[in-house]
Amino acid sequence: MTRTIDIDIGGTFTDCFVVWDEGTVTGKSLTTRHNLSLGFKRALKEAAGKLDLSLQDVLAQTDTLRYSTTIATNALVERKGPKLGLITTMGHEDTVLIGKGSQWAHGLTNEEQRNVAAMRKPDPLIPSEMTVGLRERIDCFGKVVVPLERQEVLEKVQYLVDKGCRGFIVSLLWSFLNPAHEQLVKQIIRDEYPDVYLGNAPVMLSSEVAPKLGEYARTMTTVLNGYLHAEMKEELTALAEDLRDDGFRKPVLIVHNTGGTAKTSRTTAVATHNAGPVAGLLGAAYLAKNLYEYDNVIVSDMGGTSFDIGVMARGSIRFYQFNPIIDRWQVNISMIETKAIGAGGGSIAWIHPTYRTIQIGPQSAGSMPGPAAFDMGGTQPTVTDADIVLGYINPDYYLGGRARLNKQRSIDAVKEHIADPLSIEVEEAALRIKRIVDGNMGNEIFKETALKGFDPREFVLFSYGGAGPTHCSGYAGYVGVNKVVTFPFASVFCAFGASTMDIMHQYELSKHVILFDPKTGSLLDDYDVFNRTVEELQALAARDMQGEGFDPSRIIWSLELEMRYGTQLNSARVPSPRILVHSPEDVQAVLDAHTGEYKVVYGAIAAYPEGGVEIDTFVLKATVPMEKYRFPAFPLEGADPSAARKGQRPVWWEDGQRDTIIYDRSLLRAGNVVEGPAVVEAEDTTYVVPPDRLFRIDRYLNGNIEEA
Amino acid sequence: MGMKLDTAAMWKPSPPSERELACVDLVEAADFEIYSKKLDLICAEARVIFVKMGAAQMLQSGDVALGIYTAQGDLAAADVSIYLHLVTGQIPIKYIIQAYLDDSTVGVRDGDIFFVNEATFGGIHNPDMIAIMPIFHEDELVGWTLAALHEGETGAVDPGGMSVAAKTRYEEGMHWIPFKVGEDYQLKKDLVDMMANQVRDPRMHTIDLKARAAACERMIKRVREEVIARKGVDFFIGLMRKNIDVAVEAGRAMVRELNDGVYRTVMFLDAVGADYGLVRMMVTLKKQGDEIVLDFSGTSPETPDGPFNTYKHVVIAGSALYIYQFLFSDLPPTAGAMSPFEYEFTPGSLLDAGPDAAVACGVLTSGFLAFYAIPASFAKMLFDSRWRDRAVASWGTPSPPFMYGGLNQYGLPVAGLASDALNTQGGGARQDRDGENVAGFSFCPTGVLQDAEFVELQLPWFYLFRNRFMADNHGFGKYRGGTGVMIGYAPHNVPFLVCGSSQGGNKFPPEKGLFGGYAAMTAPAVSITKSDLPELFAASSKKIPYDVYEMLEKREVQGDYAIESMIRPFRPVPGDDIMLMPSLGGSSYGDVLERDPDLVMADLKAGVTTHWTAENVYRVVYHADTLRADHEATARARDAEREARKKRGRPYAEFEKEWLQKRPADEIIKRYGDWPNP
Repeated sequence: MTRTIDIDIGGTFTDCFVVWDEGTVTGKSLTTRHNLSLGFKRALKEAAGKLDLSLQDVLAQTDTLRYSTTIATNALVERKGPKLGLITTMGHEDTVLIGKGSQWAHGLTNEEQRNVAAMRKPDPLIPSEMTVGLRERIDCFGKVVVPLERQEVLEKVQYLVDKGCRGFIVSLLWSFLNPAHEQLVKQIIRDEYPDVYLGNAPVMLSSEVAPKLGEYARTMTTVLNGYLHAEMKEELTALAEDLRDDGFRKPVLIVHNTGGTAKTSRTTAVATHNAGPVAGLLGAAYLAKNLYEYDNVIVSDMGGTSFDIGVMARGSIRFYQFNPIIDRWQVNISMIETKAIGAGGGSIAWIHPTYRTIQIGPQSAGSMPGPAAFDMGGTQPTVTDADIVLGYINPDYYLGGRARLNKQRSIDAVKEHIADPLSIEVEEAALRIKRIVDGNMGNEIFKETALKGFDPREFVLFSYGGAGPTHCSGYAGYVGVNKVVTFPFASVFCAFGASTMDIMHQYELSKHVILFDPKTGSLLDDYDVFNRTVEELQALAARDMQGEGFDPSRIIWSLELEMRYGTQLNSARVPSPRILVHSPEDVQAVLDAHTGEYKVVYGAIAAYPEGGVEIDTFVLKATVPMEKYRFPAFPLEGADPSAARKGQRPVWWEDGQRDTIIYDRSLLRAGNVVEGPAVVEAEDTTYVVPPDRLFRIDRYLNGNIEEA
Repeated sequence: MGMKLDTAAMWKPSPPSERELACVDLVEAADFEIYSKKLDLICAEARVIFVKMGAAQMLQSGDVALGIYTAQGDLAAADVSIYLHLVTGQIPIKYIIQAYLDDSTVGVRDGDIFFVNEATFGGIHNPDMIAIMPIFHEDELVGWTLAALHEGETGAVDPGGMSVAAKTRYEEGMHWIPFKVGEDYQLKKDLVDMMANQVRDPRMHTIDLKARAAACERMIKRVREEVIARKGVDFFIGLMRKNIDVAVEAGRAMVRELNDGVYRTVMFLDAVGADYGLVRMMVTLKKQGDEIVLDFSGTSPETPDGPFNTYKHVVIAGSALYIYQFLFSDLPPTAGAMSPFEYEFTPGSLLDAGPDAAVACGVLTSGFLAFYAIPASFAKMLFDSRWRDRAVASWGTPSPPFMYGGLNQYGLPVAGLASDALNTQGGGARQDRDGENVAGFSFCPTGVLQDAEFVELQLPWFYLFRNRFMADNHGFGKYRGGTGVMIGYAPHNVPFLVCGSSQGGNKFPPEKGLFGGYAAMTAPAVSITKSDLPELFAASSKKIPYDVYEMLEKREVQGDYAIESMIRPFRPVPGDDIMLMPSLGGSSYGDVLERDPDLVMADLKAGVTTHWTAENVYRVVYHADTLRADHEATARARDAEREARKKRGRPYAEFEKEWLQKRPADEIIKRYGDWPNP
């Protein structure tokens, strides 16, 4: 018997997915930013009600509760962090403000980056006056060139304390290779400001938070972690206490953007950023493997303001963001890659003043005032307004009829801002809006998949999010995929995804190891250099897993290496075929894995092993598997969907307006096939089936959109 | 004497071919929006591939270009990268079409990989190496792809690619006119090895050549799969043409709205050879209707003893940096955006050099124009328009690249160009705010400064200081320029390196501020030879410097100090030498006496401004302990300064009379040409 609760707190909604013995229920509530546990409990209460249980009964009987949260993102946007002091190497105090020069472009779209006159670097989280430099230095071999003196540390720390410092970030050059100076700084602060006193402040070392090559991202990761730490700690502690009061006795597990979960005590603040979309990708991968045996899946989540994309290729989701950005800051953590663009139901359509072409987003009407049809003051036409004009979305059945939309407002907005300026009919304007937003999303999917070295047309597309089923047939066309799978629990998909996640800890350490030396033409023969690094990371993992209450013997290990050819600037992440190496054959196997990976992503023309091959960073993953929900299979009934037919209305398609049959999603049974053109209405979304497509309900009650 | 084309005629968009005219109407409005973005994404994907694969430091810095061109060789789509090569890239493509398409011994076939780095054939200077591949659909040539990257080594008389010692082109290393380095999507190993044999860092050269070819191949693959296969080849041809036509139409419409007039800017360089000596460059914008003529007459003649000469097409491409990044930043970066512009040069001038001239550093000359003279002239035009926000003061003019060669700490040969100073230039001030501190690389502002740790891991030096703002290294004004940094290099873990650098602007600022703002500070290059740095390291001494001001004011490091030109011929730099290299700050906007005193205080706290400047330039009265401005006392001090200015002022006729009698020493104007108007 498995009883789990998974909660995903998003910017607008808090989603809940509960597995209760053989079944599942869901709950949804508006996110309550002032106190997240209120929305959390409302969503859970709704789900509990579907089980005829009280919230307290459900909590008392639950084995596992996983939680993904946007607290970190919110705290960053609202600049709610504490006053921090940065202690770094003298001569390099402005590393964060310099931000690799092009920091101003980080987190901006290509169009925004082209406007050089408007460039603006983000306001720093730690101002210059709260940064101090120490006269110390370590070199690229980890050798101390200039030792650190205690007295100088004391003076600099005192300066920061006098300035009101509430937390210390310590990031010294080459500390990931030799952390002695950073540790000494920490020790001195602890000696001078012991924990027993009220005035003590946390000390975070870059060599502990993000021990990787590259001072900017390492420092920034540590700064962000310190900046978000207090806010997250407070929220998560309050939540845990709240849940305890309501009868939950187990530790809360936090969903990480690395693809695993861990207790709060083993969670860093930066690991929680964007965890929701990552959980969605994990959930999609679980369904792909266990229900359908698909190896290649593209995941797409179209919500109100953004469109998120993720990729599972060859059964794996081990793609990480290249130079990952949190808000406007580059970090060095290995976040599972999901890509977001500003395209959602609330994205605003506008006319480019120069080209006179229709543009969509990135501005969004959000949930307030929302699309014009919401009748809450919005006057700009959105993608949702276009969907209403075209007849896809039923204004009388939005959110199952709980919200009434004003179709005339949609028509007026599209007419005034798009149709009239371009001298075209309203419906033509709405069709163009739909076509362009679908094209933008499809192009983005193609690029993201292709960049990983795969042909997107060989993939199946999973679509979820409130607006996904309405547009997936459209954007699938631009990707070139033939099959789209939709899910009845699409609107809480990320919470479902969290339910499929294991306990997983990830450890990274930069260590420069030459595997193939071009000067001598020889392979690495000092295996200890490689193995010692792995074993150090394994020891850390064993310590942490024991701390979480797991026997280290249950750990499943996997090793990934960031490798590059000699002189190359960037490295490629490669799954290592060996955890440890003991022979030339083992080393060769690692080299071959790199060459193979390289050829897949960059093409055969690119490989250059004769130039030398080096390891930059070791990434060890320690996983303890968790039990997961098994979806029941239903017997297939007849193809005839007529029992679910709920009406008929005129709808605009590419070839003009047609009277179109409308179906009720909740009445469709396994085996039913709806022929396009058709619209299928559910409480939380609308499925659009174009004339050349079928909507087939499979044995797991998921809806498949396929070529007719 | 090298071959020479009439390159200045090859950058303009070609008239549409009959084939293009027949196809352009096939592109409907909604499809244009979707598929023009698709072309951008294809270039962006290729850029990621290129950057991830490549090795040269300039790859990371952004000196990289990816573009898709029409069958006639006109730029039709590009990535956000360096526009310089995208514009000049049209020239070798057009040359290949003219010279080899119908030549039975060469020909152009699907899968061919062409290589070019010859400046007279559309390169900028020979470190800029370009791969070009045709796009075929069945048997029809329908377009081209291009991937360019500045390589830090050319096999010149000295390492680093931009030889400052070269007096003619024959000392600059490889000069390859377009030739086939590969066929059938394969690089030919014999040719690759032959090229690698010409340079000091064959690994870097080979891996970057592969990266260029892979990037071109990726664009071809995507165009075929994603555009031609879906919408047909006619649509692809029409789409490219429409991307050009839209830019023509929108660009001319914007120019039409600007005030007609003549806008002139003059600038001086203090060194274009191994020693000092003034030269003049001048640009006059003549704007009428929907056309603008950029007239460079009044510029000094070609210099026979240095590599700072350049070609017309390089200057035109340099102007495109301003046009694409600032003036037309919302237009598609295609050949069409250059349609409203015409150019006039004086043959034999510094900007229209002869075929034997050394030009390895000419990109810096055109860069000075691109980032000061041209923006300053346009700023005057834009100020009275609805695009005032694009009237930006000069960025830090091109900073001095630090070039090196030798063995690294692992005993492997390395040679190249360190990009620290390039990627740390200060931004120009705007009409409503300061320039950004360390804004990036003016040629490609999205380029990336490499981490100091990454550089120290690969190369045998140690940064005494680098990631630290250099106080006052920018122009002062109501809105100040962004500041740059000072970089302290010390060879480490090797007995010596061979190093040099190339740049002027030490004694005389090449640019000026806008509307009463100051020019950026001239930044000195400094060397300390035969220093006791190794002993100081051994003793873990407190005397080890962490800041340029501390180093020069205290002089606690013993050794021979030299304030020298940033144009430094290559020389061995042993482990006890220190070389300092500045990156240059941006210029400013408006009168210093109008700057908000609180902003001056913020700059003091940030280490961007010195107390001397706060008191003597900005005339702010403040409390030294709290760094709080006394606004009333400041207003009084500024009023007094305004009165003092009036007293120092003289009638213009009186000033002019005296000014026209002045003449620098002959030694200083030996490369200038006729005085005062070359």
